[in-house]
Amino acid sequence: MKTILVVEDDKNQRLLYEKELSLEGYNIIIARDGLEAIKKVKEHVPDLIIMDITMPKMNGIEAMGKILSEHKKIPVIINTAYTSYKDDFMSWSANAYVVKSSDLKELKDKIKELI
Amino acid sequence: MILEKHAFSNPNIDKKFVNAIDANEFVCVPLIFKDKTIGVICADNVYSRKPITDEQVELLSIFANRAALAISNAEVYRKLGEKNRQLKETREKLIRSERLAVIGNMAAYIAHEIRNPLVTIGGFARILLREYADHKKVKHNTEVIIEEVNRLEKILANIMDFSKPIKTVKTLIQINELLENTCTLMEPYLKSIPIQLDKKFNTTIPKSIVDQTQLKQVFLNLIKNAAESMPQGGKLTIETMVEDECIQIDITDTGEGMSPEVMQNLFVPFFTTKVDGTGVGLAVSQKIVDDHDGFIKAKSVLKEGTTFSIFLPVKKDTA
Repeated sequence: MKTILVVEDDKNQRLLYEKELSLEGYNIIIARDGLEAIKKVKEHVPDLIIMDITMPKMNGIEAMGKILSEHKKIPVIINTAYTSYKDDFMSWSANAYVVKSSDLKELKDKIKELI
Repeated sequence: MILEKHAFSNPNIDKKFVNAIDANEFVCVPLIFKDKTIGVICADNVYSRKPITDEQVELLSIFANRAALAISNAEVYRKLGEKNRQLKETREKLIRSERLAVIGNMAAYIAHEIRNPLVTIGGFARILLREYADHKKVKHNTEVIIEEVNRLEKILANIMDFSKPIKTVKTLIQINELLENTCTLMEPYLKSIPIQLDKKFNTTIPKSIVDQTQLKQVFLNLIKNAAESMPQGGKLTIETMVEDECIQIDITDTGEGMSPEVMQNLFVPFFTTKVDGTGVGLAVSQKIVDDHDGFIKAKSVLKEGTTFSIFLPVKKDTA
């Protein structure tokens, strides 16, 4: 079973992603901010990371930089409510940029594409 | 100063000039301001036929000094007026741009904060719909929630687009071609209403350095607005011309027209008269045209129609 790390500071959104992505057959682990994400990657080495940008303690871009410096091959999907960074995600070495939507189809399709 | 007493017989005086004034005596006094000759006053005795006296020459010299000063002042005043106008225009653009930036930042923040809970609401509503698909009432009520969430998400997407910093890539293009492309995109939509499209492109307009994507967005916004003002059909005229060193693009509809109150707020961000509008289209269009050193104007008559005119300066090096 593939493991996905969902890095998200919003409690209810974490719940939604956990419920929906588990149904797709993935093992879901959760981190509430960038710092926790780094810790969780060390513990579990997930197959894919879904990363929010705006989070307390450490934002998603900084966390992603630190994670990818050690685990270059883990695909990362940036998942944020902002549309404005869409042109920048490749320069951050992320694999995809999915704007948050209540319809998770695009996110699910991207996951399937990457793992 | 030149005082000539024998113009008819003086071979050094231009014959054409003598014939034109038809006088044997004349005096020329320069108009001097700050050591620079800005003109000349010529006076002759063609009416009096009396000799020009030293006293008259002196009077004329005094008059010329004052006149030179007055003319220079008038010129300075005109230039000052022009500079003032430019300053006012730049100030207005700056205020607009700053206002847009502040509103944009605020809008982005609010949109971000609303979008997050909205994702959860819509997401869980979708789960409910899936898990209670057999329960008619739950299904119906949940569908309403999802529909409303979708609507809000669309509005938020528009607001986010508005607040997105615009990256400009300018290239040399022919505006007519860009308009033609935009018309091709819009033609099926216009035909479906039905709206007759009349293109009057002046083929002699020079090429311009513009951001194609941004300007296309402006044209799309204006054509869409025009079409929406003619729900029962009508005529849309798109015309290009060169006016006062500007390329002018007129987009005219035969739609409902706008009241003076609406006209006053046309370019105010988030002002809209449409049921499902976000009011960012014209504000963004104005910002794009501003960024091209141009300006945009609208004139409208209720029940007759509206014309939006975009003016883009002709860059001399590209003309």
